[in-house]
Amino acid sequence: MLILNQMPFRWMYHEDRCLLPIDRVDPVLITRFHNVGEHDPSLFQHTMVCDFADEAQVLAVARWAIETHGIRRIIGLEERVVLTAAALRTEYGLPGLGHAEALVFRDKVAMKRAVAAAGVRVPAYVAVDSIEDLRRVDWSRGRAVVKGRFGAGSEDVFFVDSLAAAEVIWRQRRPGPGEYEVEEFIDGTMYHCDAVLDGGQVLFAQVCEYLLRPGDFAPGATGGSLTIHSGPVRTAILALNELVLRTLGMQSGATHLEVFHNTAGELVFCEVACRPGGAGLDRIYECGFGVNTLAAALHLESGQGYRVPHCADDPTRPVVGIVAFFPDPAAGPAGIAPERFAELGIVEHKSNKWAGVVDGNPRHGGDYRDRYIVVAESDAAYRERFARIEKEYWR
Amino acid sequence: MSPVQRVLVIGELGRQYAMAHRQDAPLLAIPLQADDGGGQRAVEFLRPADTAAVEVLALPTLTRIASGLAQTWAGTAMAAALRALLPGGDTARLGPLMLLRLHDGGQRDGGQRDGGQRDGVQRDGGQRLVELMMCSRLRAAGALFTRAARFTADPSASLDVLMGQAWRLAKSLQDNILSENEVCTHFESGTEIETKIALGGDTSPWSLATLLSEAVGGAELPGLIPDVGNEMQRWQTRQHSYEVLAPAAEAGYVAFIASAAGRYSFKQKRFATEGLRRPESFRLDLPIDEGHFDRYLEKEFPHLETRRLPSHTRAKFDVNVESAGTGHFFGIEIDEVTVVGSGEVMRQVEIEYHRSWIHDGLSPDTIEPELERITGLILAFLHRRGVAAQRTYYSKLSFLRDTLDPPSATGRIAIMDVDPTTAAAARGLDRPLVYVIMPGTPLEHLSARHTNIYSVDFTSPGFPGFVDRVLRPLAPQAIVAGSIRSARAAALASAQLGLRPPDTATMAIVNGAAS
Repeated sequence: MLILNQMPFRWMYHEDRCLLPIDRVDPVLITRFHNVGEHDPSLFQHTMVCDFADEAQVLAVARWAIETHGIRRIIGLEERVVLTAAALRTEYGLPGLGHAEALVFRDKVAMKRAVAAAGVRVPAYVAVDSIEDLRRVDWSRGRAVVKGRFGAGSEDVFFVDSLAAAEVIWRQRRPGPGEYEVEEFIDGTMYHCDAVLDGGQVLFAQVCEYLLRPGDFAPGATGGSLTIHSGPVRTAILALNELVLRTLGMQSGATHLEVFHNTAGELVFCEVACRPGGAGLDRIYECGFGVNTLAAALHLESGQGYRVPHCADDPTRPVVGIVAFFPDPAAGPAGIAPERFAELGIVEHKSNKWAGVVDGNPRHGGDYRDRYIVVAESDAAYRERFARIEKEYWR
Repeated sequence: MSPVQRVLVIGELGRQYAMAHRQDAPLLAIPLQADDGGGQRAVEFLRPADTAAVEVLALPTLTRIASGLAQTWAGTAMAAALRALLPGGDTARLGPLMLLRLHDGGQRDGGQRDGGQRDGVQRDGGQRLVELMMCSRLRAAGALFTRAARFTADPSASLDVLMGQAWRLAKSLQDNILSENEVCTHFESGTEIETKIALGGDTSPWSLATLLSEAVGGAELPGLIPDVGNEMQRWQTRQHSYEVLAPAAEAGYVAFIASAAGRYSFKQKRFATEGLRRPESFRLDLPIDEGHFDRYLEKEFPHLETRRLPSHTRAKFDVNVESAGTGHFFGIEIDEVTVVGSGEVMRQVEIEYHRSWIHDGLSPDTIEPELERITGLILAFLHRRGVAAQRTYYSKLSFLRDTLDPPSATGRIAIMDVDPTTAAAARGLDRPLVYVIMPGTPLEHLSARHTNIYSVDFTSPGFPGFVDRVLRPLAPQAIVAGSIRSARAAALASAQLGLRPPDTATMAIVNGAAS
């Protein structure tokens, strides 16, 4: 099995537990320069560290590894390697998402086109390949989103209110043809739906409400989400999720879909990824339902199958969510004392020393300084705890 | 490994050579100091001091004549101490006939550390292996013995009984052992088989030759004995070379090597890529005027497309050694090549297979492993002395060609089998780096920005595929071995990519950290 990885080495672990079915696979790992310090040479004997900015280099070593090690499966779960992994699967006739299928999960224009064709409401959108295209957009409709078609983690998302503001962004980014789109800004609440599929059948799906929209990350902001266990919005989102995944041809693995519930009460599709939700979302589902979506993806893409616990769909389970804090270079020390965890319902805490590593400011929607997994008996209790944690964190 | 008991047998030469002899002449069995190195020997060399006797026994009675003699055989004549013990007229008729090497138990690993062969003899049942070595060369420096046969015997059998078995086998291989011009053979005639070690800095070839010569057979070069009577050779040549560009089957070079008589030897070496084996052929003693090489080539080799390369001189010092375990003869040849005109210099050590002693157990299959073993020993020898050295297959052809195309000092360097110490030192090179490490090697102290790291078994047959498909696109300027065990793979990879040896600074940093 070949693993293409751009994440820190430990992303395949929860604490000391490797989430891969390591007793059943012999992995060849291709990873990037950074964060290999915790590499375990006993489990990952065949490890290649190379420059992912040089795709030719990654492909050269991947092709050599596939042919030399008799690779039968390729894992590429990080957004930026999804297409590379898919292209290699297509080239070598290996199971899993091929390049054409993966492309609709990566290109936000192709994605919306396909989803809209299935009758799902999507934001109005237009591909912009040049500044002339940008000028042809109808800017009279108010706020819009300039977005990288292949972006990840809200890194390449800009909210603008005018052509002039859009042109500033354009000149800063200097994108080439095929790299950007402009889409309608949708107001309202955002939800995410994370799912595990095998053979085209959804084994597990859960809806969460974002307490901060991913694109709204900012220094010192508090992010997070919580599980939604009932109600018509949840039911509609689960149905939309199944429709979208079926439309895009997803067969096995984990997915992460984002959707707006606009002020008019409509569901409007945002985007969907053919990999598990990042930034600790897997911990929500493991703590709340016994389903680790990252482990599920690793098992399924390894061809080893994944068994979802029977209780995963139990609506009486406690509400679980994440409360996460973005770094703020202007703020002083912050945090929650461990002795307060029990009272606040905190069951897990993880800090990220690399958060805001460039200039102290968050770089993307998952660049948290601290994140807490929180449980509560009800939706209301959870929101109350969220507010208390936020208050205590900055105190 | 158990020590090997050794018994030197001295008797009348008529017992070995076809000449009249007296049946009542003395026959002496002389137990020598045991060989602690164990293992089997294709050839064994006894310097005078090595013939020191634990005791001297008369055969067949095994009567003790003497004990504790400092020497029994002194090069080409009997040692005075032994001669004094024997009746006057008898001693001049005697000479070393054979050497018995007696192996008792604990021999399962068969002396692999110093090039010895596995014997394959099961001694759990108590059998003793006897190597029968017949005297094949006498020089002032000592006596050489070649293994003629092996047999097993009951460990309780007396020396007299063993001698009876030995005499029955003593005529084995006698046509080769008794005549100096028949003692050796040459496998793969017409093909040069050699490894190379590039030397950095201003290392003196002569200094290395003398150091290596002194070390032959010692702890640093175990399992080797000097080429008795020809331990060191010195050479100087002047060579005018042409690269052969076409046809492809004859790619390589041709050269005119000046001789003292104003004539030339013509050499042709064919190799499209550099490697261990290269076919070569010679024409000797050609009456060619200097400056008329082109005309000679046009006349004799009209089908060759060539280009003239710079002429060079070559000073060369050979330390000639025999492998005691395998019976193969190798030249450890240290040379300094100087380009005429530009003065550019290349220094290197070449370890070249020359010939093999004909003996019981002779096999061409051991040439390459033994060549590899010796090359590794010499590389370690150089590193211990702080000599910047890297194993290569880099030929004089490539060197001469590269003098026309000077190297960049900023290219990427690939280091094989790097460890944290070497990695830390290599960062001082301030050049892009690639590390090739064995699977399972920890990355913890190797990782650095813009340093590619590849876990790949560089001893596997698939390694050339990795070199071609992964290393080649990275366009390394040099591939450097960070350890002795990776030296061969680094040399092969360099040859595969047509790379020149690393510069002295790189060699020194990597060698210094690795050793």
